[in-house]
Amino acid sequence: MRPLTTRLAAALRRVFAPLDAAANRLYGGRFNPLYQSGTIAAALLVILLVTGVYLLLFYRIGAPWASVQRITDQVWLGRWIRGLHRYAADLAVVATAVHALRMFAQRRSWGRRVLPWVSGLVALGIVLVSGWTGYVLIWDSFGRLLAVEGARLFDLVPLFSEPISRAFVGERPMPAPFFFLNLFAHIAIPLGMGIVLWLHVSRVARPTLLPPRPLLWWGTAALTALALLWPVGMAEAASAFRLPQVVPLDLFYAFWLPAARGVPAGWSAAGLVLVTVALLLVPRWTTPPKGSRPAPSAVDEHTCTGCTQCALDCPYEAISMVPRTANPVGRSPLVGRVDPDRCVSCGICAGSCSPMGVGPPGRTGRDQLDSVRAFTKQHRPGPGDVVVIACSLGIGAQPGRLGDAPLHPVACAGSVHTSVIELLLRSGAGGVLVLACPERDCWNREGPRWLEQRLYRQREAELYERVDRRRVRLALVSSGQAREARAELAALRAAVAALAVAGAETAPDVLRECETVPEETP
Amino acid sequence: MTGSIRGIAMALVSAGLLVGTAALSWYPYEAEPRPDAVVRFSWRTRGEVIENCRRPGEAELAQMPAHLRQEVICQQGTVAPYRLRIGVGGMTLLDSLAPGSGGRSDRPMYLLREVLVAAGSHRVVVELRRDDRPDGTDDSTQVEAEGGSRRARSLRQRAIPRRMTLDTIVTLGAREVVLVTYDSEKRRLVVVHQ
Repeated sequence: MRPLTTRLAAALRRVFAPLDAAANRLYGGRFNPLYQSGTIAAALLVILLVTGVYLLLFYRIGAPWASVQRITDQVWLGRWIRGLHRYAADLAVVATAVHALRMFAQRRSWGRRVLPWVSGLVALGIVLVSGWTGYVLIWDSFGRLLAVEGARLFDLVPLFSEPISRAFVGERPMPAPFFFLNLFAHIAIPLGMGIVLWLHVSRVARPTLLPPRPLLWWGTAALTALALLWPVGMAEAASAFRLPQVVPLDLFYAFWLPAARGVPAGWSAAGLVLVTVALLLVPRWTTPPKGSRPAPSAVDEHTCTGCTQCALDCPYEAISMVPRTANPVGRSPLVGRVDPDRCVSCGICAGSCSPMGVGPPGRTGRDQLDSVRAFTKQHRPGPGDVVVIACSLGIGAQPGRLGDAPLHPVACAGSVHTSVIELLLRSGAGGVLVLACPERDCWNREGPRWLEQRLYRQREAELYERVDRRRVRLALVSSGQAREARAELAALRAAVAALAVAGAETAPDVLRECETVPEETP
Repeated sequence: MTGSIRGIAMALVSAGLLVGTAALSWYPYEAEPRPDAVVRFSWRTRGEVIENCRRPGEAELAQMPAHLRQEVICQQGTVAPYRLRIGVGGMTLLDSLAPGSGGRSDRPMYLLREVLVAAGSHRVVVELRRDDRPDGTDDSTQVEAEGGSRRARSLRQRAIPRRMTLDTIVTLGAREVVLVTYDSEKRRLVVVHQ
């Protein structure tokens, strides 16, 4: 299955690339709803909670359809609140599904990301089941269809003394306990969502739970406007003695219903089980083979100064500071320690360490400098050249689309040590353009954020003051924004051309600037 | 893209997405495209309980503690087999044994069957009767002769008659449903309309 999931993920990335690019142009990378799908889903849950409490005040299990009709027709703001509740529920499914697809496309579903993946699936299941019970609560023709299909599935489980489907034949009126159970499930199951969300973000540092405020408020306003302009109506009341000709279906929750009604319940159950098992097996199917799994970061204790910056920057809380035990005299009392079970090998710590003492094997700051030396030897960038450093998970994956500029691809722009940029300039390049993914699109979460702060805001390990910032440019572009990347390149080339020609040093040695203080002899 | 054009485009795209959401949220699904009707057969009934009972002899009774002495001793029973025949519009829909549910078939019999028919009048025939042995005897003879256990007597009172039939004409409009069920108070099969 691994090759299949790899191809599927690549195909999905190709689908997302133009959509991301279009949404970035329209909304900007920070407010791109595709990037914010996870936080949008969380915000929608809050809206569902608030509107749900209001609706609960007027709902009656003894007269479900009549009470919903009363909410719709008579209760103050009832129709709009119902609309908001319904549309928020619909978009919650969309947002959760988009979020899951993005994670799958970016292969963020294995290793230490298994827990977020599985908890995300549980969250999606909770959303779907809550929607199901919510529609049954209305007890209109659609709700009855859902209830009957659910009963057919339950009847396959040999636990109940009497087939549940018989409850809907019309022998007697629907008992209030049925609606009480549905209401209980509709409220209790989403309450479990809090625990699921906590699990979902428990393995990341600084989880972002809500979208940026402008997106949050504008999104809520747009949803409210939709509820006002396109208010939800009432379908006919459920009846056991009348077949509904046309049922208003909510395709977000009942996309499966037309197919399920046409086949035996066993087939539907088999399909449900198959899809669930396949989704749960995604982490297994997307795990790279043993030999090709990226190795976790490691700390060189001899070099580590105990500054704690790598522990602060790690987006996965994989680095902790522990008391130094080896040769502690004259050294910092603390030293970084990487937990390999939590490390995703993003390499962001490599960019955070001034003395270049941490990072995944082959990608530490020192390794990056070696790589740049080889690069400059091969490309020999001149004073008019702009070297492009691009994230190979994003725009750097297709170097041909960036024109003739010398391209130095990196595993993650967030892992680039600022000395790499300095070395490129001191080797003769006229400028350095760093193309990173938009922050919310970073496969490693916080790469572009830390990189921007290292370049412009003195965050450790910062780009030294002596480096001419006019020759350095950081652009956040998604893999589909080649046009924007070329424009950034052209702009930097023009800026560099306007500057005096920089002279290349004969033998720049950036590493010397970053050497640690030699150990004192005890 | 200038700021105002971008703003307009953003508003239009957002509005389009939201309207699309609303449209998919209220999709008119043709659940029953044909103007057919449904005859629904559904009930929950208990068959008669069969127990093998005997009168203990005086010597056996004398050996028992006083509080356990009974006139009739019955082994745990089974439910009598029933045969169900259903016909709609001259067609036989079902003709089979109707066992009780549960692992030992000693739980109530359930039925839920729906038949799609054209709107109009249809003859509905249902027969549910004890599936007696070919020689005309059945296991309950002994029970009835001996009186059976208290539980069996109670269950027998709640059980369906040995033979129930329904032969009626139902008239249905398009997309109407009629229910054929067992009325436990009247102890017979009935037709329920809305």
